[in-house]
Amino acid sequence: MFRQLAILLTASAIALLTNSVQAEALNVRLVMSGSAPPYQQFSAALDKALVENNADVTVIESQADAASRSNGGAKIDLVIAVGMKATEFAITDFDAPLLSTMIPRTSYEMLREKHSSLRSSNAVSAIYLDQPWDRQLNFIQAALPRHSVVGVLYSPNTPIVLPRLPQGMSLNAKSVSSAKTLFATLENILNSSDVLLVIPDSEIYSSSNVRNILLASYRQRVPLIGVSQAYVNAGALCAIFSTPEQLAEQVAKAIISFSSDRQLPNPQYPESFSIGINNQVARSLGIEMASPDAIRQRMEKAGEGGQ
Amino acid sequence: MKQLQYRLSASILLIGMACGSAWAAGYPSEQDYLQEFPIVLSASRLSQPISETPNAMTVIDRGMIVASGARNIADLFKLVPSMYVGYADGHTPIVSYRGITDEYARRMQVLVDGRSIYLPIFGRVDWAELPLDIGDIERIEVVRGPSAASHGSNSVQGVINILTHQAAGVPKAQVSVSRGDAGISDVSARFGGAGEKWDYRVTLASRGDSGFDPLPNAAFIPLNDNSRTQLINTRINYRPTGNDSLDIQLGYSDSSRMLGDQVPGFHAPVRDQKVNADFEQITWLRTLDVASDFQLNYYHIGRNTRDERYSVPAYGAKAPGSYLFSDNAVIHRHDLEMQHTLRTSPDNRVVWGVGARQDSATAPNALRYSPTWREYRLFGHDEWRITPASLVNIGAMAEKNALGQTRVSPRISYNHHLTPRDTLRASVSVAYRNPEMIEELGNQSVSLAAPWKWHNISATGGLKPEKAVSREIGYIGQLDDAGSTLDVRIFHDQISDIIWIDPVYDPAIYPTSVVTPKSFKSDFNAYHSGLEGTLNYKLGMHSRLTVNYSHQTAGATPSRASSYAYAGYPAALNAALNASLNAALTGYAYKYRETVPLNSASLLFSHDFSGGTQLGVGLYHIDPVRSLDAGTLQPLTRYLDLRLAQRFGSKRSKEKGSGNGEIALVVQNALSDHYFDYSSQTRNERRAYLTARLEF
Repeated sequence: MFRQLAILLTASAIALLTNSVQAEALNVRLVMSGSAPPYQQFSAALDKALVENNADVTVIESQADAASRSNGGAKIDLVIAVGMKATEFAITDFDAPLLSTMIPRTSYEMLREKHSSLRSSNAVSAIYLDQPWDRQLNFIQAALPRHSVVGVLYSPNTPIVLPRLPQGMSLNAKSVSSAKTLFATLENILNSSDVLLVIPDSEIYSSSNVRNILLASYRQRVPLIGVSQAYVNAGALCAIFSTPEQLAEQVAKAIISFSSDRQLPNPQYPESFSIGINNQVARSLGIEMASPDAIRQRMEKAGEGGQ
Repeated sequence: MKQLQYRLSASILLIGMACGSAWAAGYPSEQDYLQEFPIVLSASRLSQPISETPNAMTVIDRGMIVASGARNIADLFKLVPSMYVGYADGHTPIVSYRGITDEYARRMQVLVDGRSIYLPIFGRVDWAELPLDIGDIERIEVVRGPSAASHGSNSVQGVINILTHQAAGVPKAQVSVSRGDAGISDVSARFGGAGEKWDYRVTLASRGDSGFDPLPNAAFIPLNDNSRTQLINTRINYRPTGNDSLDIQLGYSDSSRMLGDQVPGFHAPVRDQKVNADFEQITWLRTLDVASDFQLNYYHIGRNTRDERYSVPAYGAKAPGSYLFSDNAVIHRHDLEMQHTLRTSPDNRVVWGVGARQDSATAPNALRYSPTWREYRLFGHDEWRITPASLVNIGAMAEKNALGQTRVSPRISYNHHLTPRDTLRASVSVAYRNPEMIEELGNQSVSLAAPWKWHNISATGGLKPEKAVSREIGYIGQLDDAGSTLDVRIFHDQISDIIWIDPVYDPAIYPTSVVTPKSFKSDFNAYHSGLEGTLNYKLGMHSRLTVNYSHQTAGATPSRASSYAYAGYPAALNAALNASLNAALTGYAYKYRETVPLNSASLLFSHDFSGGTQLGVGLYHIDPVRSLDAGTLQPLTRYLDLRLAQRFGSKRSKEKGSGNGEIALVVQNALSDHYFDYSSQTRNERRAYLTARLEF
């Protein structure tokens, strides 16, 4: 806190000394968890959104493992941590206000809890990667009104928060105690569910398991609802998800807002989302799917607005 | 395994909240959302829904297989409208579709995971020795009608497509034992595993029974039809990259079956026939992109039959001693096929490919020589969605058969969705059945006391393929949200150049044979018309009902009149032979009408009670029907099969599939003490058997 104040004071002093009338550009440090395409897409989209909004922001990008607090002496006003690795790194290695993004809510909350001693609550916030339960269930109801029993697989170590269910819907959640029992549990859940909803979990939905899960669910004629376009391309019936670009736009808004009031937004779910549908799978399973726009409209009607 | 059912009132709950000391443990990262996957349900893996297929199709899924209580694969086809299942003896089931039934039902293609098991020399499926356990079958798709464009040659009346569990499909080890009436004694064990790049499953099984018994106190010759088959079957899937999948299947069976009569027939004394069968199959599937994939499939099937015996003295001075009769046969089939599936647009999918097959046979007492037959095929099929409500399937196969004849089998169908739940289909298709080795090259002759011979078959050859033209109009309706369906169609098929068994009166053979030699000739044209329907009804989550009904008529006319004029015979003898053959032709045409039952129906009901109890009820009805080579007309046949199963185990949850084991009681023909089907000798008695299964 003192350090921040000191930086702020120093900055004001420099501003006064240079007699500048213009407010100085906001210095944003963008810390990435990696250089894979989603991070690059995020970075490009963030730049684009800031430019489009004529935001007076200087963004310096670095990787979580290579980033150093020092920035050639320039102060850092805001840290944007993209991904889980970057978030944990930024919590411990930076003092500036931190906005974490592209991170699932449970993982963000776990990191906050773990490092609660290092950070005060108002200096950290997040824009999550995952969709709120209400939205997911609303999506299932809008996209698949005849599929009321939603199957969910989770491993016992994974914290999942089960939601209040809308009318006419029931949840069939089973825990997978070990990799050995995965397919037995899967068979069981496919026998008693109308759809299988993916809850990301690297122990269950690893890339090799996803193949057999998709094949098994297809054979049982139980559609899989994924969490990304990649799931849809691989053979999931549909998915609701937010793209790196959509997150970047929301982060850009938060940065602009921060530059004026120095306030982080409250931790929040992504505002914008995309709907992916695999029409070939739908056709093969004999499922009538509305268009993504029509599903969005139904969702809006049912309560939650999509953007 | 915990199970949680939340209803409307469920409030926010936290389960399994980890302490969170190490963030990797259980917490999802963005990788879990952003990871890339290979395309799994690629263009060729996605099948058409029943409302969009070009032919009528019946699906027998795992649930129906279990509920039927069947222990023989052949019995499952009783659940297909218009399909006939009977038994020539305990180990020789006969499965035919739409009549022309005989012991060698030749007009249907039968595939197991794409491998044609419709084998030379006779062009039949030997269901008893198949290296396949009924427990490994995941699903059977029966295409009702010609489907050469999709399933290759000999798909004349229909195609049975048996799909077995995937390599990763046996997650639990299982042991199953059955004991019951008629000497039923089956045991099977299966296990498997799934991994990062490899999946596998293995099945070991032994099945056997003592066959059928004749009626007590009747003067029938007792049947000797004990049989036992032991088999091993394995399927391995290897994925060297995300886009390549290699499926390897291997199987071997060893079977022994009793044949012959206790009161010995001339060439049919009691003996054991031994058959070894094996297959090796490798399928490479490469996914090129989301819209196309490429598949290369090779398989080999080998079959070795050993059946040698000495005849019993008969025919007086013509055959005073014992003569060696041999039905030994070795056959090999090699088949290689390339297939390319591509979606050219969201509304159009094309499947095309080329294939070659080589069949070779060594059967000195059945064939004139040991032939190696090669055939080549080129096929293409296009599914084109013209508008969201209308779909056209156009396809054709061109093949050059082993006799050097080239035929093109086209198919076109139009499916129109009147509403998303109601579909009309009209289709016309053509298919050919190639002559079998025995029909073209058959020569079954054993020398007796000179100059006498037992000359049973002497094929004159020069046959051409049988041709079937099929037309149908059907309706497919989805009745409710639960997935209940109704499928009804009327059809009219014309089959020309039907090959039948034709007597040979050639002076070079006939006068010195103790039996009338047989040949094969394309002498009939026929029609089949009728109506078929299937209702699949889901009564809630726990009950299912399937009802099949079929009403059929058929008729045949000889395409020639006999015109024997053998030079060595006086005119009166030639006239007598002509009269006799003409009578045989008329007789065959007459019998042909009766090879379809006017009405037949089957019903399968299954219900899961709470507490892990499962009930299956199968009810079957067949009007009188004739098999061409069985002596008598099969009378009206009705029977009821029951299956009652109880799951048990340490798990508290009661829903399906969670038990550690199961005990099942099956009673076949529960309501009467016997009925007859194909043969008046095979008495289907009431049979009960108990199956215990353990999973671990």
